Amino acid sequence: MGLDTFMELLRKHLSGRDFSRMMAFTGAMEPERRAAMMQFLAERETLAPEVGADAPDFHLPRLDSAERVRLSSFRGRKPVALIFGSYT
Amino acid sequence: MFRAQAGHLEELRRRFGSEVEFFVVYIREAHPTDEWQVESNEREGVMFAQPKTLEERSGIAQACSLDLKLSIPTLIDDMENSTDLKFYALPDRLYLVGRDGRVAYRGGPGPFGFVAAELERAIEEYLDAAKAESVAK
Repeated sequence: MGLDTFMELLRKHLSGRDFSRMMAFTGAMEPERRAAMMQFLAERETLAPEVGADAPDFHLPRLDSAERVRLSSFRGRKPVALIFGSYT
Repeated sequence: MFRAQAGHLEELRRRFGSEVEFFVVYIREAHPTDEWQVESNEREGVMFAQPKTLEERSGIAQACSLDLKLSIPTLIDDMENSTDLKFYALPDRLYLVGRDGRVAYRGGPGPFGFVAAELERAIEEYLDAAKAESVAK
């Protein structure tokens, strides 16, 4: 999905107020930051790891535990479902 | 979309948890109050500024986990957003990584590509194929 298609979907699905707020937010960004964000949005379909590619490794702390989890530690043992997101 | 589909994702973990490991990877806020606020957050009282420290991010992740009654363990991305950037995850995204360490399913970019039902089908297909392979050996 190209950036233009993504923007069209936003316009179609967001309320007028949410869309206006997004435009105000991106319009007020420092040019460098705005460019980085737009590049990220444009590249996320083409550069995100593809099916069949090695999944990038990570080593992250677990909430409410001193344990850290390394994705590659599951290799050869179990598939892993990753759910990326935030509360907001 | 993550918040709206958390119940479905919990169902998937109940159904497949013995065969598939599940993790929430908690990344930067998609719609914090100091960036692009959205009406649904105001309606539901989910109002947080973009965290500046890992402790702040962990605090919001904790509130999220409690509010959504998540049993799926949560991992916290670092403040350089390293994992988010490697997986091009912002605002939300789903993946299935196979036993061989390769990407078996890559969901579309969020919010529109974040579809728990698609992940469900991908898990079913992956496990069916693994079973068929095991029988063939």
